[in-house]
Amino acid sequence: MIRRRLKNYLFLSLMTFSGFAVLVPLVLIVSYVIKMGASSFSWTFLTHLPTPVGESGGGMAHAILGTLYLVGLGGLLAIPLGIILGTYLSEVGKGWMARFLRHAIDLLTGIPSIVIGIFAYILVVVPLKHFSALSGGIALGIIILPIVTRTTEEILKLVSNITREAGLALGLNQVQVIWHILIKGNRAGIFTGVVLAISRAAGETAPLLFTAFGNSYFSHSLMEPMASLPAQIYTYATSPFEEWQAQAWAGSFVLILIVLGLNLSTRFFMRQKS
Amino acid sequence: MSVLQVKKLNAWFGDHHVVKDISIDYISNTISAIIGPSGCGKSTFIRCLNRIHEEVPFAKVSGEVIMQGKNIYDKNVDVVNIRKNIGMVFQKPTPFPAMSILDNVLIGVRLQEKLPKLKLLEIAESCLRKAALWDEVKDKLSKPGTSLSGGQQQRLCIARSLAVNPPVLLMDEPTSALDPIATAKIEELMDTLKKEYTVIIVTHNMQQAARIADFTSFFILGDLIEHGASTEIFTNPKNKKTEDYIMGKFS
Amino acid sequence: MDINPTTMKENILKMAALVEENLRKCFDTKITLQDMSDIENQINKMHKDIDDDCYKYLALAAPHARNLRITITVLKMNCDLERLGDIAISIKKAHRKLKKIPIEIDHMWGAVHHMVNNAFGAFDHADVKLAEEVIRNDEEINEMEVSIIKGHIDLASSGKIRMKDALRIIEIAKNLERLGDHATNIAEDVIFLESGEDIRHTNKLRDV
Repeated sequence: MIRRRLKNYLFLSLMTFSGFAVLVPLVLIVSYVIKMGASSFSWTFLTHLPTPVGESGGGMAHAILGTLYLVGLGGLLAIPLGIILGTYLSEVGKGWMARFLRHAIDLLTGIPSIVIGIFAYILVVVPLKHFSALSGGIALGIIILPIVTRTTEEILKLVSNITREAGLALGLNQVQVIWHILIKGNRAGIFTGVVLAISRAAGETAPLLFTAFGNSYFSHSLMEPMASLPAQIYTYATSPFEEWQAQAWAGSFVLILIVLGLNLSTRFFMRQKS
Repeated sequence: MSVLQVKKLNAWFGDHHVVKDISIDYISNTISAIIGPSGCGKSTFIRCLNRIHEEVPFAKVSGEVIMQGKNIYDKNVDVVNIRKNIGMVFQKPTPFPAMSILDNVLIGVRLQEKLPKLKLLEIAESCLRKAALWDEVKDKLSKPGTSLSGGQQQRLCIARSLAVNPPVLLMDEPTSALDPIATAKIEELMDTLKKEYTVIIVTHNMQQAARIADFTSFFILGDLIEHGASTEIFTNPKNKKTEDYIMGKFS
Repeated sequence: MDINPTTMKENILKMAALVEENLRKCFDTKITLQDMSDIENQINKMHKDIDDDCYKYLALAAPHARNLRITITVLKMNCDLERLGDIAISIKKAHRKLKKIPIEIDHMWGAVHHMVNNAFGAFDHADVKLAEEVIRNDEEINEMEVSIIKGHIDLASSGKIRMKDALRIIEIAKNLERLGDHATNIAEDVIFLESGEDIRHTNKLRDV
């Protein structure tokens, strides 16, 4: 009896320890970033362009906007396509074509993001002979696409076949069943997949380094280079200037806020669904 | 008067011959039950009547199913149209996800006809009443369909099928997954449904067939052993195998 | 199902009403046997129909508890009612050949008629007390029968009345006693229906 109690206690301790082991890095990172970045984090930071070294009052407004633009562009390109592909793989895809597509999508998730960046560089930057937001958007789109496709496919696969049959039995055709019952009915799950893909894309640095490249000013054009938070952080963090390094911490803080915020929001949406 | 004629219907799953040469005439405004031991092809049989069977990979069907003078298995027949005339309620209650009770009832109608909102609400109320669910949900039509109990969900599925107004309603063991009270509530519906529709119901519970059905068919392993009025089948069946089954000699 | 305890009860009461009508007519000299035969045919048809209904109801509905007891009670009452109808015909056949009805027969007829009506009423209104009264009255009917038979055997052997007439009167008395028996059966069935208790062949009520 005592042995059983001891075993129980031992495993309970191991599990608690594991839980802490996972939480500790997260807490350490976030608290360190806050500590280092809080001093430079301000309303000015969020709304102003960078100032030359030595002058105070600079910010990363252009990078924050740039991230929004680039992720938005990547999403526009990849999300509808991803949902359609995921639906196709789950509902229609039988035979060799579907199997091939599925493998291809899986491979795509495994490609290092810097390689995707190089691909976008060759595809867009070289012919156009300059860096552009378009190439950055395309790179992010390639990162977003497989995630959305896979989550859509998995969500739809979870739906019991009886639901599909019930829809068909009402005299609805397959398209109606897929759109009105399956996709609309699982929009929370699909949306979660979309948000996860976007939050991943928002944090990507490497592919943007030689596609969107970076900009010291606001840019609203597809054809010009564009700043982004991760790239800007990289530039500032590797610079020799203390003020810029401090701003890099603040930028990291904002980036973590965005990514964590997006991730937490998905839990809210999933709870809504059930 | 016959509303549905099944002629020499055969069905396969790949090479597995599951429904063997079955012919039955279904009379309008009656309830016909199909009973028999498990795995005897009852479900496959009715799934052939609204051509849902062929949605399964490697499924094959031969024979005729004639409704309103036309064979539903003819070459140029639109399968989707068939199912507007032959509805189905399944064993597991399946309210559609992330949809309110009202939207669940109306989804079939909405996607097939353009009707004004008032007419749609009328249809919803009428069908929910026929399914004996109106009183329980009239104050919460916008709540999700999944918030109802199992028995209520099944009645919702029945209302949903009725909204499309099919002359024939197929039911594949509709009360198997429900508790006795919920089962009794659905059995009580049957008399009402009979007035406007023709019901064909598969049940593993032969007592249920005795209680609610006007006609009963007895299947074993894909063969139709006997078909007749329930009063005959349960008091004086013609086939010894039917009698043995009814008396519980095998299950 | 179209057949249920309510319809079965209605039908058996309809049959009882027909039986009651023929019973009333069996001592009425103005009514002939022919007049009664139409109702007798209806009674016999209902006898078959009610049995068939009970059979189908048992097979299809598999009733329990009270519904089961009602079905069984109706089946048994059906038997008794059909016999009551037959006895009315027998009494009429004997009665029409007699010129005069002795007062004891009249007396006995009144009591038995009362019993039969009470038995029907007890079933209709689920009246256990009335059913118990019917069972108690059976004793009296039996005594009347014995007395009439003995009396008329004496009258016949002493030549005061014709043998033929005496025999017919005795036959009527026996039939009346059978009417009482069937009424008693019905009353016992009512008690079974309402209480689930089978009091047949006990002396529970007769000793009172």
